[in-house]
Amino acid sequence: MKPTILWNGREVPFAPGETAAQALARAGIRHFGTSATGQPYAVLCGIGQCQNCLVDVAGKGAQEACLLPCSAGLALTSIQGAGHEQ
Amino acid sequence: MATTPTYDVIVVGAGIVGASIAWHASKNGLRTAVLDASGPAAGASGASDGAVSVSSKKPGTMMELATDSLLYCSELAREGVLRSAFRKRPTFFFASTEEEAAALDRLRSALGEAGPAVSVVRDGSPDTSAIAGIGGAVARVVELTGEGHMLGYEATAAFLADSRADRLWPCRFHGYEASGNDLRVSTDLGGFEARQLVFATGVGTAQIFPEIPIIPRSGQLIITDRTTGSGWHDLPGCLTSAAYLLSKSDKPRPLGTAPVVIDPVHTGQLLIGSSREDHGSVSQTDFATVRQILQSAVACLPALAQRRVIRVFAGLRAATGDGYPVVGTVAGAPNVYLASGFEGDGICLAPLIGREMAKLLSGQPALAALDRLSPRRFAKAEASAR
Repeated sequence: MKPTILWNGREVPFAPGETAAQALARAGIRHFGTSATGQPYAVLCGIGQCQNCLVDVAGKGAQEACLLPCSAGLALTSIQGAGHEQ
Repeated sequence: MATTPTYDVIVVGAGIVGASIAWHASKNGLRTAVLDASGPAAGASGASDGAVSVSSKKPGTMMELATDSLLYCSELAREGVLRSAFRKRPTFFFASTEEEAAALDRLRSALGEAGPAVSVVRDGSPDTSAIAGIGGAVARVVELTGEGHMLGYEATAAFLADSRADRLWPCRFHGYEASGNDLRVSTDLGGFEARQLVFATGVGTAQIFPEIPIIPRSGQLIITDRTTGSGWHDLPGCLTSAAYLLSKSDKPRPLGTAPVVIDPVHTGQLLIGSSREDHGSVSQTDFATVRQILQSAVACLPALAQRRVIRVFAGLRAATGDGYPVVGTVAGAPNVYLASGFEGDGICLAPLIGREMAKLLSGQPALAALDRLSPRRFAKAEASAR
């Protein structure tokens, strides 16, 4: 059985060496959350530059899903923009 | 032959203080120009944390002026010009040591004397405060109401956009000479005639008036992005170490200690500052100091470790030898004024300084408390030292 990460409490399998973004993409999850400007968080550049694939890592805060290596039990949650003024 | 443009007032320096003076002067019917070597808020105004704060001022004249300015700032926010720039928000001071707790006691009595503009809402242990997740080293939190936040560049832009003053930049000031009762001013953009001249030139004041002891005092500021994860609770207001009060007392601590201030910005970002260094520069940040500020910040609010820093920058405050700004006419030149040397108090004091300078420029008496800020005090000191 493949190891899993947790996405909003749901188990998502990953292959060794995959990033969170890859595992989520394979599971059909492309919309990771919503930024403060209301735009969806999703993979764009894939190399940690664009800051558009942020997810919340329990106890660590926002991290780039495209740079984040999967490990068994890694708990990730969606970030929902706080709706601040522009 | 083209005639030289003539103004009632030329303001040199388009920071928040110059912009406020230009706005007030043109509102009083004075034909006004404001010029800047770079552009609006290019110096300290654009590199500040934006606190409109009475509580951080030295008790006495500075706290009185700050109280007046805070109330006037709220009025300008209600009536229009600062509507989009000024936001009321609570201020929280925290103490971790007995020395800092004693500073909070002194603050409470100073605020009591300064009147009802700023008052204490709560004072007690961190778990009774409105801020979630205060660090274990913090022993006491005092919450104040009445103060606000105003980003320097937003306020500068608001004053300039609403002003009828001519705006000239980039336009370097070269010099001035008396021309009858008037002044002839030379700049990058040619010559101007002016009845009165105001220098709101911040650290640049030292080049124009070498007799005024202006010290360029740098500070490091850190800004986070606005992304927040599940471990973060929004800060309802500014969170400041009571050590900051110790650095502003009559017997200031040596420079180098950096009491932390964490200020939430309306964008959702956090501005974290700041230090005071006499050797700093705006072209370079100081990594060791930034690290120390961030360590202090995380100690008082551990969830900050989850926030992401996107930029670190340094600003230069114009400090004076005695810690008071220089506002008023210069010795020997009754139609030449200074409004400089605010050392980080310019955001708070700019509304009041603009209003009072416009009175002086219109030939009316200004607040008596401004006498304490006269540039002539340095001329006297120089004369008696000879």
